[in-house]
Amino acid sequence: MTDEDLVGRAVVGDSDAYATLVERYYGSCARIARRMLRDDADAQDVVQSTFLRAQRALAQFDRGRVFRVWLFAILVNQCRTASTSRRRRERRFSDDDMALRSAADGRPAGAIDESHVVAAAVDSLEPLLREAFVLKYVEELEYSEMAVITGAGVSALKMRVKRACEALRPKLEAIYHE
Amino acid sequence: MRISIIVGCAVLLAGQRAHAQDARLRSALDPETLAKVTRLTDSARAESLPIEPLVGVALEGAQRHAAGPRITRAVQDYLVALRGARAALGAEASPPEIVSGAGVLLAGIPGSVLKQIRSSQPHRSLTVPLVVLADLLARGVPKDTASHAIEAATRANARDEDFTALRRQVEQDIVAGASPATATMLRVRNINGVPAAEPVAPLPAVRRP
Amino acid sequence: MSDSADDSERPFVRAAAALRGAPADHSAEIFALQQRIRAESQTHALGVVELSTRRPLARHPWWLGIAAAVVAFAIGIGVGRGSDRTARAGNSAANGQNDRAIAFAFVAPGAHNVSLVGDFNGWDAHATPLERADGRTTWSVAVRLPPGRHVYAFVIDGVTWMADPQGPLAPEQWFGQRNSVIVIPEDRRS
Repeated sequence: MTDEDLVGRAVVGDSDAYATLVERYYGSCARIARRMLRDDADAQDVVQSTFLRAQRALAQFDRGRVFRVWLFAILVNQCRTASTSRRRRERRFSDDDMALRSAADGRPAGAIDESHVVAAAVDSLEPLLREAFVLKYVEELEYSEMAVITGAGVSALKMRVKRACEALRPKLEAIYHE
Repeated sequence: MRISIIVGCAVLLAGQRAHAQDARLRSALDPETLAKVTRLTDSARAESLPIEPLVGVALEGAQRHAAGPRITRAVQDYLVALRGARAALGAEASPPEIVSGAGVLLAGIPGSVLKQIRSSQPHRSLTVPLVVLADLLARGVPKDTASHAIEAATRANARDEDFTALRRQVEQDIVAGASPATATMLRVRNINGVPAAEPVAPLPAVRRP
Repeated sequence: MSDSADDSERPFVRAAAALRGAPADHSAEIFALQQRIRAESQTHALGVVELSTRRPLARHPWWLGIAAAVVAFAIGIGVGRGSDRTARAGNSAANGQNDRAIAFAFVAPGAHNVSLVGDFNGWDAHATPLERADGRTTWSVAVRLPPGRHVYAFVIDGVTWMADPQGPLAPEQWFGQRNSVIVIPEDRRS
């Protein structure tokens, strides 16, 4: 069943249809939130609240839009809000500290696999660059979709992705020994 | 003779009306609360203010099982707001305008703003603009922003449909994650005749792909 | 994207694949969320729509479909006088000539009863019950309202009061919860 069909059913109160959409997009949302917030617990909270907000807002969902893009837009805004309030809450972690915490994740150095090392590299990017990189490369979105999600213009987004790649390249080349 | 019959009928009808209200309140309120609320509705009647909203609040409180003092306080606060709204909107204001204006005052907007809105449109109903203003405030739009938006739209001769569209758009933008202030400032500019104000940040997540 | 990736993009594509492929078991979170969603979806308002008297409600419940798509604000959607089946809900002393028939609809699959309360029926949860209009999940009722500003809410199973999520909110919050507002246009100035 397509997203459109499921949304159509969910709008008239079919909670099973919406539960299917949750199952379909939970992983993507969790990935985006995890990278944007660099914290599993915060990411989980944000993803849950995103799906609940989206459910409440379904009646206002414009059927001409793409559900996934609409959902990600809510998610990204939720992440930004959570990130802002967390920054106020805990100023003691610098970005490097957070990246380090993310990379180590309680594992011994020898046990860190590729995804963890890559995640640490991505986590070291500035927030807006990280957001753009994750949406473009990890979630494979079009720039036009990213513009809807982030509120930024296409050219600004292209610039962010370019800068993210420039910052990541030496780190990834070191990881992959290229 | 004819005049006295008409007046007599009017008094009789008014008496029946008051009696009906008493019956509704009497069956819903305890005697002490009933006495206090009745005094307040009598004051409103004497001042020619709308009474139904006050009765409605008392009945709502009773149905929600609120304590008597809370019901009395709500009716009292509402009466003060109704007075303030009529003072700001003028003696010619219709009951729905007064009630909507009272809602705006209760949301923390000063009476001077209501006066400004009235002076910009002395001859049209302000019920819908004021309902929309109150709704924006309830959704977290800052007072200044919401007031300026409604004032600007009223000055621009916006129709009721424009106000309802503004409300709907702002609500959708907020749900999509936009800041209430930004959503309001941008959306009000869609109304014909509303001048563009200073630049604001773009709205996230409201444009079509 | 990987198909079109040139050499310079390869490390980013590979990094993205590593992030996508990282093991993550969200089944417990998804299950918990789905449970919550099912619980929340027991109550879901559709809003209200103004009716025309030209179509008798009993034979043509055409408005139910529209109710799902109409925002709860019946301003300027034509003029109706209500049908015989619509109860006049106002307390106004007016003669009802300017009343408008308004349908209120609400989706509540798990509810045993839903009612409409407002200043027009003395906030009496027994006065204006909604009927299960489509035989399944949608509850609805049609009432005639006099011109003016009306405040209303839905009561689910006699216990839970809910504002209409699609309608404008009333600023007054006398007893801890907000209600919704509907405006029936006046003829005097509009």
